Amino acid sequence: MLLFKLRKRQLIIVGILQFCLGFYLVFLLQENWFNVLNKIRLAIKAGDSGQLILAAGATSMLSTIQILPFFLGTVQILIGMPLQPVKWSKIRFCITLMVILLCSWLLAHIYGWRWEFVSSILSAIICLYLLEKIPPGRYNFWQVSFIFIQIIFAFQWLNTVPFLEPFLFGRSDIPLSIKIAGRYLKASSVLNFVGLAFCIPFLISGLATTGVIISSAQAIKAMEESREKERQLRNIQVKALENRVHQELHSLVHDLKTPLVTIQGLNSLLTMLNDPAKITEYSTRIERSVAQMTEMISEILYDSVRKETSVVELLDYVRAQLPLEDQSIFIDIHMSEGLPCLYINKIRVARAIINLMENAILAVSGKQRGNILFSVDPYVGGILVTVSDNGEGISESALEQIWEVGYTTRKTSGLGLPFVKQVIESHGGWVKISSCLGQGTTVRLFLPGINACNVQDQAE
Amino acid sequence: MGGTALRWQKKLIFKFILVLFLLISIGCQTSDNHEWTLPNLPRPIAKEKALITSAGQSTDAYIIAEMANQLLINNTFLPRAKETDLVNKSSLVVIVGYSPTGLKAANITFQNEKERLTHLLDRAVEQKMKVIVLHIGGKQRRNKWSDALLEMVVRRADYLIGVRSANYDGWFTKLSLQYNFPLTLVQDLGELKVPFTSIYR
Repeated sequence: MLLFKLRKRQLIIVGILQFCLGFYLVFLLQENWFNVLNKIRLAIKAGDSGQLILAAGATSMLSTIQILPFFLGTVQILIGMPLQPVKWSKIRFCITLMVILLCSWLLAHIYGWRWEFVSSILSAIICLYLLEKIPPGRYNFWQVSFIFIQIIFAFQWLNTVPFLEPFLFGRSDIPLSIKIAGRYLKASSVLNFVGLAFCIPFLISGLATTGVIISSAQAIKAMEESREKERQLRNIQVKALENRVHQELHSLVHDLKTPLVTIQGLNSLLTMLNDPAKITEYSTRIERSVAQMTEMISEILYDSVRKETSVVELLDYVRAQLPLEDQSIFIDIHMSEGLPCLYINKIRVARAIINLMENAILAVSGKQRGNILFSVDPYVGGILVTVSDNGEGISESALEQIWEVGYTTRKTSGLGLPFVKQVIESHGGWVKISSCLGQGTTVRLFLPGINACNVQDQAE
Repeated sequence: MGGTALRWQKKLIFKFILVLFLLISIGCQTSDNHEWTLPNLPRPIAKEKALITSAGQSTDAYIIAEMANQLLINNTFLPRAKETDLVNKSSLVVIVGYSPTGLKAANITFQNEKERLTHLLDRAVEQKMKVIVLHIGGKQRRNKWSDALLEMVVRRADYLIGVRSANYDGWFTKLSLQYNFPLTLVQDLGELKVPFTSIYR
């Protein structure tokens, strides 16, 4: 706010300086006006309408230079352009217009000329109208100046067009002298043509410049909005990930309860025992449970912690964690013989498999009979875990996005499958999904066996 | 909200343009004046050599000087001629047209210009020279300064040539009757050569 006030004050000062420049230009441009007069005299003497066209061009240019600081100064002081949006109210529009016209009238008075009110009014209205069309904060002083220059220049040319004289264009000294000389040299039609030939393209160019500024501003705005959306999406994903981590932690901490309960139970028995053999046995079991807890904690904390695990051990752990309250869901577990041992982070891999099972349970929930087939088979030196369900299935378009973080079809976090993929791939395996809409989904998950792991480690 | 603002803006612009054209059409109406004019002089009234000068320092004087040269009228063109320049001249041609830029370029004020013309006209009358006045700027060159110069000059005029559009209010006709000099009004500058030649030939 303070910065805004400061900048607004600066703008007012710049605006006032522009007014001063405008008045200073009256003296600065005087010689140039005399030169224009000499050009008209030369045109009359030499009968050269070319000199007259040059005089008309110089007149339009000098008039534009002279009036421009007043246009810009007024807009900067009254609107605070380009800091704030230009939204005209009737009064504001009229006051700005009046101040610009007053400046133009004052200028004519200083020169001792008749006031070119038609061209002044039209150029001021169009400039102010275009100014409002540009989105706030998307333009700068130079862009607005460029538009104003083109519009003012276009209308100044009309002052030297003889056929517009009945419409009160070109009443001031120099344009009138040009037109009278044009009549004498029979060059009125040339002046008509040249005036319009300059006015129309500059007018179109002014409108086109505004259009370009508007469209580029809209493009920048859209880009910023999409960036903001991306940022928000990232935030949501991070939050969801945090939730997921929390969820996982909750499950893992829950797993820690099992050895703790064992320790607690054995410990309470220890106090009642006198038999040293039993005490030793229970102490050994307590020690084993503590070791188990330590291992679990390590596996929870560090992804890189791996240990040799049998498939049975892994599946026992998975089975213990599965929520199976729904009586309408039938899970068929099939495990082949001769499965290799795995070298894995048991907790994480188990969580990945549980994730797949939870997805399958969700897919069949609500069905009269939900069937889930869970099978583990040997596959190229490792194991192939297959989870099939007879749920609703996934559409082809959804299948392409299913591995993206945050993508979900069930109002979940959308982090389950990316988590599965990350865990399995970090173990040197792969995971694939095939689905048929209305028939069900099959997920295949490969994990390398302990020998394959050793070969891989050696290769690395 | 935006649509309402746009609507009133359009209405406002439309009203502006409407009012502008109404004003213009009112301004463009010419009064029905009874003109007492001649197409040209029936016989020459002045002799060469002519001194051509400007009243108001507009570029219109350069047009008449150039026209005189084309018509082979023996002349001297001095936009800021003084009474001493009237020596060896038989007629004085004054082209009225106020130009503030012309006056500034000549580094003189409107008052200076009036004084110069007063002295010049006084001497011309003293020397019994014919004074021819031209106003070729049309309606747009009619303003309070040009009118003041014209009123001052036509008191001594023997002939006035003007462009018809400048007589939109009948003022030229009125002056012609008031100061009793013949008046020629032409449609445009192309028609000016005939009445201008008729002064000398």
